[in-house]
Amino acid sequence: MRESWEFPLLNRQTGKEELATLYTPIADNNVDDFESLWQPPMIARLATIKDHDELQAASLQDIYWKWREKQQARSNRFDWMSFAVECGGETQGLMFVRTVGFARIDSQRNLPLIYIDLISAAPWNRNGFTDTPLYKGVGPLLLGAAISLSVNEGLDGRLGLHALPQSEDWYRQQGMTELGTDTAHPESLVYFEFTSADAQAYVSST
Amino acid sequence: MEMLITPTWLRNKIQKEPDIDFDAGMPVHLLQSIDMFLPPDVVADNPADEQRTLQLKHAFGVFIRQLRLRDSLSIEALATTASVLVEELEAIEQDPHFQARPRTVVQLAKVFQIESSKMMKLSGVAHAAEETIEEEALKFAAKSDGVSSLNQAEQRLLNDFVKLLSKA
Repeated sequence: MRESWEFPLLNRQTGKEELATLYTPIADNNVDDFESLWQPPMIARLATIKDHDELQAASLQDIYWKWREKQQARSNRFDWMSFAVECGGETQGLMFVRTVGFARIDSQRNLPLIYIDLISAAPWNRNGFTDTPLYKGVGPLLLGAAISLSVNEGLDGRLGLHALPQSEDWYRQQGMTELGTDTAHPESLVYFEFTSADAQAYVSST
Repeated sequence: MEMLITPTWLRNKIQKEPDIDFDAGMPVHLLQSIDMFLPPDVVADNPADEQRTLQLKHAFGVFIRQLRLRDSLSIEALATTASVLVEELEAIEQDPHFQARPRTVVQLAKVFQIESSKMMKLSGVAHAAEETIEEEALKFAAKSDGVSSLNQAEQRLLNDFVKLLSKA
């Protein structure tokens, strides 16, 4: 059964709030949006990019992510969950999480956690993609949902993820603990983790 | 599922949220369409290419060591500044068979203010299509042998090579 909750996002163009809906799991219309709305502008931008510096600045690394295949392969599985944020009739953010990860911080080492496999905003909401990003709030909404899931699953808010280089600062500023470069990750990305205490403080803070 | 956050909570977060992207977990190596992150081992189709790749990786290791010595950085200090692993830096400097990871190369490029695409090609992370850089890198490595400090000739060679990378 698909669940949903309503939250406000800030439309930066108008300066006004708009009502958004957070869904779990993602549905066909979200994957359709990725293919028909997200990918075309990203592919057009990619054609103009010459090197890694420009690529990283433009936040295009997820351009070929296979959302449809992942959605089909992971549906009806207990170890995967997915979330989508819709606003203005379009998908504004997507997230896949795995419910069977294990913590690495010493204080909670080997305890189960929620691992964020992928979290992504629509390209028009990305600071790196456009000088005038549209909606603000998709990131904290999805992160808050992942912590909620962790608590609901009895994992006390524990959460882990590998951040892309341009996003490392965002996770530092959310209060996640940085555990350095993960040599086991194929792209050697930096691993971040929320302790139970920090995650619960994050969702409790005002 | 019980949602622990509220609309009011999100409004407060939005007010404080930095203008930074939050993407996580994507496989950056998929961007082979612009020859990024495509290891030469994959594109090399004969032993001569493999040998050349090995020579380039050696040159890259020499280049990183020389830049580090120029800036009077220990391996540990460079690892901290670049947010990379000491063990990987040691392998880059000492083992031409070691393949540096894309993120590490980008971090080193930032520290030494070298264009990362050039560093990618030198390091073997990306396929090198620029013959000039390859040739000059191999010449540079052949003439550079600094272990603990740079002599004047090595300093000059290093400066010339950095200038070439800036222009190429």
